[in-house]
Amino acid sequence: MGQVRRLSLSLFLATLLVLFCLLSATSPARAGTDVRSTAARGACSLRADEEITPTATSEWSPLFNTPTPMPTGSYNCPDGNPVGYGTVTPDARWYINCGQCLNRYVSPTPSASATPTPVISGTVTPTATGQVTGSLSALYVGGWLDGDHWSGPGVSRSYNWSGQHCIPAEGSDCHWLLTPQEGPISNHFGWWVMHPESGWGGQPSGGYLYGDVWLASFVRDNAYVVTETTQITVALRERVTSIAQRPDPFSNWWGGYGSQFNFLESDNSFLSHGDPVYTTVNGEGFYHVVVTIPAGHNLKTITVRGVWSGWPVAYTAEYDLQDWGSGLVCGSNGVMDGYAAQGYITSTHGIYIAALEPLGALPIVTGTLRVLGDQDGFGLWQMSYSEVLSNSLTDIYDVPTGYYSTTGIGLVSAQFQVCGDLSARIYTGTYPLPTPSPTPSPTPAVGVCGTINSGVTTSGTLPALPVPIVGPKTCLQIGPYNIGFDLINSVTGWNIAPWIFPGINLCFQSIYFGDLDLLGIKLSLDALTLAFGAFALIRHYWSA
Amino acid sequence: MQEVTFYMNPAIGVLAGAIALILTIRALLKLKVW
Repeated sequence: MGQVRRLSLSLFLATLLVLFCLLSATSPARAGTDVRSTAARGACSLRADEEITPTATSEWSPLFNTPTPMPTGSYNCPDGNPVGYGTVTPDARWYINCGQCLNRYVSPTPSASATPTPVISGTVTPTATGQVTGSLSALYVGGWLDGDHWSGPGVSRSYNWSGQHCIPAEGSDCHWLLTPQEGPISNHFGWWVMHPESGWGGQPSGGYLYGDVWLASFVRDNAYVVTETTQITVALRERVTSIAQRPDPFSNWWGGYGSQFNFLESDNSFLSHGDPVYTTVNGEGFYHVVVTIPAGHNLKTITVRGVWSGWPVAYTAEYDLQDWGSGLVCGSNGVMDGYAAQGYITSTHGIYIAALEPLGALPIVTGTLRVLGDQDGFGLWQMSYSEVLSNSLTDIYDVPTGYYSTTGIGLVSAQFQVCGDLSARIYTGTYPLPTPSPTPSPTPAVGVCGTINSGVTTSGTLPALPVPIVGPKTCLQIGPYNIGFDLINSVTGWNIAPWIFPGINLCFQSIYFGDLDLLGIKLSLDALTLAFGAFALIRHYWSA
Repeated sequence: MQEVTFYMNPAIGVLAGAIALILTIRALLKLKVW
């Protein structure tokens, strides 16, 4: 009896296997093959799609959007009339399946594919202008942007220099001296005066000076504790007060090797550094640098290391360190404007952030553009920039795909600081729908419709495989989640980037295998499966 | 975001449920729960 049970169970399992193999192995040789084999495999396994498919309707629909699958061919029409047209009388089944191929010439089917292009005149939201001096500090971390933190008698000003590297070609003395000077003090920072030693005479000798290094330190009263990774911008303003023989006041100064800003912690350990970039604002020269200070650290000292190489010149200059995020005056006529904009936009093809629109003199803008993918903060995209804006609305910052929900709402915000005269506004918008451009598709394979099947047979000449149909999907979305490691970073001092779990859409979908038409006899595979299974179960468990 | 779809056939589901029910009853009987 036990052998009978095992035999019946094996028969049942073998039947199921045969049915599945029949479904998956006899797919028609056309575009639906992949879909079909995938779906057949999915009857007992998983299927992963690259993109979310639209929400299923509540109706049952065929699994394959193709004609009734055939074991050996397809129902695509040939180019021109089928073979035998006009000479052979088609039988009923051929005519039903392939009647549309008569008196018909196939032309290539257009398909749409296009790349979206940005349009600057898209949705403009939000807009704002005006001066909001100082209000940006609330958007940043801590009080770093407040320049007062560097004021007071506790600010130490020290200098060091290891210069005197001079190769005079003609002159006999090119000894430079760097002298600190306590005043006048503006913006809470000391001034440094660099001037040539009197013995040099201030005349260019034609020698080449290189490796002249000086170092200045700016020390905070109290270390600035960075609780959240943030980006800061500082600038060293250079005011040349006396130009004797410097042909170009602002050239070559920082072009030499090693000029940089170093950011140190309380124990003077290295924190970050940046290479300065020279810009001018309202006729004044600035060497500004943008660095990122990771969370969990503190900032105590900024050292400015200047290396100059070039033709020896004689001039005096004054320097002061400015915190460009603090609202300090930038330039003699500069106005610190701040503007923060945020708003929600919906996009299906991408988001762009258009330029800030300067209305006054050319400003320098530093800041961060951010796009939040949805209201949960998933998909944070941000771009930092520091540049001199042009006078036209030309800069477009594309938000990479994947950082916003294609169907949801995205939050766009911008934070920036401006040195200069500016009334700024930010434009955000979405890409328009792409314009389809028809492209010819390859000629489809021609199957049974290529030749008229003659005869008087009314049915049963062409056994048809069943058409599986699927029901509506029931999906469960898990995630996405944005998992941060702020606690671990703050405790350990590491800098582990947040991990973004992109989320998964778990779906369940009913599937019926359909009916198998064998010589006019329709067999329901579902009923057959159930009957065989029930029979096997009864034989296996109940026969004793 | 990726999507994973499970296809489920009701007939196989009914059979799987029947087998699970039978095995459960047999196990309970062997354990002499009743």
